[in-house]
Amino acid sequence: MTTRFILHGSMACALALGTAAAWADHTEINPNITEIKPGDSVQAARLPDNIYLRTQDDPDDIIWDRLPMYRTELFPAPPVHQSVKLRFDEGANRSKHLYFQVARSNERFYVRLQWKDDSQDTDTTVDSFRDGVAIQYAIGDTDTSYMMGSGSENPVNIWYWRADDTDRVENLAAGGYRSTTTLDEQHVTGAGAYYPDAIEQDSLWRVVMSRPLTADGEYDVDLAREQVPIAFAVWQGSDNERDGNKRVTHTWILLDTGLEGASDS
Amino acid sequence: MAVKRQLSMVLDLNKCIGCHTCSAACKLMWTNRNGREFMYWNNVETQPGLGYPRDYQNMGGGFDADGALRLGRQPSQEDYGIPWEYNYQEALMTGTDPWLRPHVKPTWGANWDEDRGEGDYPNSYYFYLPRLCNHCANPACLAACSRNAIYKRQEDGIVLVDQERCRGYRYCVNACPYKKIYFNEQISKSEKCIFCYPRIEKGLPTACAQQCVGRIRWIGYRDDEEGPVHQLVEKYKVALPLHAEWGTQPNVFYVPPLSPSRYGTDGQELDESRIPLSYLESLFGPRVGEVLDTLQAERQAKAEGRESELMDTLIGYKHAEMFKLS
Repeated sequence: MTTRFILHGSMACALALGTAAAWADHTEINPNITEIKPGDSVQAARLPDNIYLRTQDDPDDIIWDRLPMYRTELFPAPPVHQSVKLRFDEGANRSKHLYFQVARSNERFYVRLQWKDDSQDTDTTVDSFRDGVAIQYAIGDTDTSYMMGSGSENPVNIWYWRADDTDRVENLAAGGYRSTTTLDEQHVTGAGAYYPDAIEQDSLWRVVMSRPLTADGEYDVDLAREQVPIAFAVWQGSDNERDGNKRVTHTWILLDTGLEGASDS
Repeated sequence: MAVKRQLSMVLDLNKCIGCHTCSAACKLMWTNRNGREFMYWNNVETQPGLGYPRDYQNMGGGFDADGALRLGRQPSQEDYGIPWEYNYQEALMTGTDPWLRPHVKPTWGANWDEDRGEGDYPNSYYFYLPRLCNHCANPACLAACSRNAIYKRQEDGIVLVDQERCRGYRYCVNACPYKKIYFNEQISKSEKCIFCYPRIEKGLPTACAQQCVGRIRWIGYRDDEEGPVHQLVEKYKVALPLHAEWGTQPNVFYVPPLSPSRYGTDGQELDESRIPLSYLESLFGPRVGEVLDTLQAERQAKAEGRESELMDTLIGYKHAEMFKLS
């Protein structure tokens, strides 16, 4: 009887452990957050016209508490240059959860990104690297390589925020790795802030990026489409991450901005 | 990396007096402003010594025997030395602090171990080693850059960082085994010696070579048989690259230093040089002994009143003739 009980108990325990291991981090399970995998679609929330944002890109604006939140898992980007490969653990499976929300008003498109980070890396010195986050949009459709686009015919538009310059977002374009270029028109705005927690691992970065719904640049993503392929990247400064040394969405998440054929925008 | 022509420099370590005029000339010309204040595109270090940045010779980088890029250690701020300032205002003007002192405890800096060297009296020894970017034929910085931001000019082989393309990843800093690429924290981009290309394009030598009071530097094209570099490197073969084993094929060459003989325990002169040959070989490779023999023989010839084209070149009677830039 006793033996049976112990056996039974340890089996239940093993089962519980197995279940926990299947999730990247069971402490992050939250029924109010939708898990998004590459290939899934997300809908941009519509901010009512009578909502007034006191600060355009406030990463802690109360409005975000009322919008649906998504979570996706980022994995190390496959190395495409020997400098990254030298620093790449073979079979690297260190993943990272990124939480994101997408919204639009009748003028602007907003994305808020959050991720847990126990170290606030805001310095760019000879030997210290900064945290960062980026959103990548395919200018064309999902044929475009998620690894910085495929050539000049299938480029991507990238919005890049970095922790050493928290109130600025760089508007970039690329057509394949090695080709990241700063665009002339810098109309993406944003701001980020670090929220330390008593439990270090629960400390958070929150970053909001936004852009007017319409932008004319050749390499500015057209948001008025049925679906816009998007992907994310996070750089962990404390792991010396920079460049292709980062964690990314493998392939695309499909964003529906609700703008296509919308008469009110 | 094949280029049409390669500009090179030869430095005669027998003539370097360690005055740092080259470093000062470079600094005034390029690195006294805009986040470059603490960079030394050219520096002079005492060898044997840790060099600059501290212990760079053991940081790795360069290429392995198979030609694959080698991962190095990223130099820290301490390796370069934390710059310090003095409280002049408080100590000397207002008198609010009785002591004149640096605001951080100095622990390391460029040339920190000057004139220390190795060995015990009467066999102590050191020499000066001026260093600049080697404008390598196989630059590790270029190979390491994931953005093609570093390029080597076809017309003269000068290696440059395209400041428009650089995004400050610092792979190049890690990869250069000579640690001659510096990260500019103010602009978040990497910068390095540009071999004074705006001067070169006007037919002028680099600032470090022009200002050198010891006349230790020659500049010329490798393929110019009339030029001094061809003569020293190819014809007489007395100029050697620093750490050729790192695989980058440097285009800066050094004439290794001769030294007086060692003293035995009872004061007799021994038949070996004060600077151990093995030490020089660890820097300049296996041909050092042969080069020192040539120098010795040619020096003797000149002392005896015989002709020596090599010695005439090495003496550098006319400074302008040490540079052949066309």
